[in-house]
Amino acid sequence: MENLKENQNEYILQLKGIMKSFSSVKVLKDITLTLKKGEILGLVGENGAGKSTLMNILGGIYQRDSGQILLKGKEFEPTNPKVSGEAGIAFVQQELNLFLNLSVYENLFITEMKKNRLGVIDKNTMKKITQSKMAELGVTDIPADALVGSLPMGKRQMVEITKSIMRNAEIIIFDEPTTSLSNTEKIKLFDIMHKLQAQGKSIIFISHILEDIFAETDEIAVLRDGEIISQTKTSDTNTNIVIKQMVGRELTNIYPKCEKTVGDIAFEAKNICQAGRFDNINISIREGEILGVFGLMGAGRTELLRCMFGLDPMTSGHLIYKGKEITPVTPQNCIANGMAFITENRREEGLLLPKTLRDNVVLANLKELASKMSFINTAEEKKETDQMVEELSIKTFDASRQVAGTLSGGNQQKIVFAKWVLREPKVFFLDEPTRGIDVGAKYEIYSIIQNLAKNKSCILMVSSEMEELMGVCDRIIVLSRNVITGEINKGEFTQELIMKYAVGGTK
Amino acid sequence: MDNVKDESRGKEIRAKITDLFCTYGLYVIFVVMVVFFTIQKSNFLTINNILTILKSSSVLGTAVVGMFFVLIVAGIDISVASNMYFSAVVGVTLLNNFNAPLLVCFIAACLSGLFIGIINGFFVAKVKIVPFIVTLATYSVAKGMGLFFTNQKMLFLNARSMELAKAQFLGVSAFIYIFIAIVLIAHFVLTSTQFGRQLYAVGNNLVGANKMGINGAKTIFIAYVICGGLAGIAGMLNAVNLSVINPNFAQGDEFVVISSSVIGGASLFGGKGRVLPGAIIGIVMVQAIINGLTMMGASAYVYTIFRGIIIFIAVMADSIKFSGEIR
Repeated sequence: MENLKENQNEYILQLKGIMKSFSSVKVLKDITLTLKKGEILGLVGENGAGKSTLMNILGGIYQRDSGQILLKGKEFEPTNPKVSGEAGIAFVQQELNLFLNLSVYENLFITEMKKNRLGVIDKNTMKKITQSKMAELGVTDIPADALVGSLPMGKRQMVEITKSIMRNAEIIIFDEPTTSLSNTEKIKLFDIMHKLQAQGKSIIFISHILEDIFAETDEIAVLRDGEIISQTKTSDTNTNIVIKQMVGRELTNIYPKCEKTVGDIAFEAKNICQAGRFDNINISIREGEILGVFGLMGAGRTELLRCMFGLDPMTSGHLIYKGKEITPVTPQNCIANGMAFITENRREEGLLLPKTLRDNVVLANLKELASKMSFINTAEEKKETDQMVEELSIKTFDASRQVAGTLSGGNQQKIVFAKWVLREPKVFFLDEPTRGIDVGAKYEIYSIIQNLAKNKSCILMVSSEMEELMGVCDRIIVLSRNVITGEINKGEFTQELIMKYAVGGTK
Repeated sequence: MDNVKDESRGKEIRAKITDLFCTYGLYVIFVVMVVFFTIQKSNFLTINNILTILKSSSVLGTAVVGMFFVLIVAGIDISVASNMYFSAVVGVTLLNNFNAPLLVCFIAACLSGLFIGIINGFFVAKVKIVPFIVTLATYSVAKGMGLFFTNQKMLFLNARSMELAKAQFLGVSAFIYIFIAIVLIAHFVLTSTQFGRQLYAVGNNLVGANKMGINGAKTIFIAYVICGGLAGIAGMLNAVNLSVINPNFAQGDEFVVISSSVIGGASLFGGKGRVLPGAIIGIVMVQAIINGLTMMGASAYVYTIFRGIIIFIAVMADSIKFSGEIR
């Protein structure tokens, strides 16, 4: 009994049987996790495994459906962010909560400024405290009155960390803190993490980079599909085991079979560079080939597509389709040269929700439909829409009357496809084409993609669902931290191999 | 490869030129105008005329200080000029019909300005309606109320108002002292109180501010109330200065106030601006150009066109600067 009590004291945080669903989708199923005092716990898991949801419950942003949270052995109810903050839980997130137009010390003291008796803020005292708190962390190169907006990302993060110790946080959650940091900044960050640990603070460190997780943590917990698969001492496990635990998912989805021939290289992106992100990325796609792009959150997948479509600036590089260079790389010119981009936010970027299906379908094609006098040919418009509705089997009672917003996610996505397919592009960029779509509709989307490839289009498909890429693609390239770390042909696809590349392993 | 380098260098240079234009462009235009006026009219750059410019700047400058508070929290107040009209009507009615002391009239004008500020603040901060629409509505309401109370007639101020209009200390109009005092108080509030610093925080990142435990809605509400109160005082100052209120009183001045604030360093995107010296520089620049044009005998229409051009350049520079900043 005595022994058990001591054991209880050892844990600063215990989660027991935490469940959480979002509109009938179970995101967390019976999570049990423990954090010891003065320990660094690494939390890893694939995209959508439930890491953020779990942390948001701790941070008081979401409320759990059931389960128990014990903080220092006592029951704890994080009902809102303020309660969590006062209980000593601090977040250091990717998206920092800093005011860029204010100085470092003002950011630290914004809600409880030191004042003299007249209510005038005492700048000197605040600067002194700031300086000494940062010195505790070994940070001496940030002036207390520097404007936060003028600091590089790494230093901003130091300010954010200082903010958390100012509030006497005992548990600090680092959520993907290294994504925007340079290597030296990263080393500095880890140094500070260990300093905090030495002061007796407990740390949860979330990262996709297994190398870092293994180098910096005492324990590793693997989260998969809303369940904790394992929590073990870092010294008792290794990269291969963790990768297996992250991906060990059964392949249950069925993918449409399609007889098609893959031709010669048709589309090439050569030496794509974007200042501060991509350095000489090369991609080539054969005629009729579906090339998958896998990467974990923050690997630069969407950014790469956007860059190659001229939506984000391309510092240098060439796009070539069948020997002809597409230049300049602007969205208008890419479209004019037979490229299409189906975005991941169909609601925001791709579709006009309050408009009818017909209006949406013909949107990208108005110029062709217009007669010489620039009037829109309504009959033609209707004919083409009906053809698309049939070809892609869009379920609607009347394409000219039903508005896009009333369709299901799958049918909305088909409209987005229809919109582009009408223009008969030869190169398709697909960004998460099946996100938020039910299984049946996914199958239909896969068929559409297969058919496009059969008709000799080149397809570049980004997805965070590994199985989907394995089921649909002819070849998969893997991105990690803005670099292509691996390339795998159909037949050699394994989940472990893909994940190994995605967590930073090299060829 | 060299081509790429040249291209990126060219881009860099272009970016630098744009940056320079945005930061100093308006000052350059201002200096050119001053030089032009000085050459054309020998009495433009005289102490007497400068004092006149400063006096007229003091009136709208008071409203500019209020506008700074609203712009810092990333809002906008279109209703200032109507607010000035309505508040001045209230103040002057007390002065003329009830023989109230001038100070009481000023307090009454300030209170009616606060009243409109409270309405603006309530609907923007608590009901969360777009500030442009809210203040466009109060712009119309305040103007209408003023016209209703005056029966659209001119109000001539009681002779007692001349005491203040003519009051001087060391040869400088009392107006200027009032304005400077208001600027100093506002500067103190913005830089040396927790509330002031929170205004900037809210204007930069409202979501973040709320997460940190700042009451964002309350902060924004107070900013609009301050803006309303100062507009009321500005209205009364303007009435005393002109010694008459006609139905066109302060018409169109909201644009002068907003553009002066932007010229003085506030941003339509929030989180920026120092009242000292920004508010003074902004309004003096605009008033100097208006004064010069008047001396040249330019028609009222030319003045309106100029006002439009100034607003356009100021806002354009603000937008370009904003899009170039890392947020």
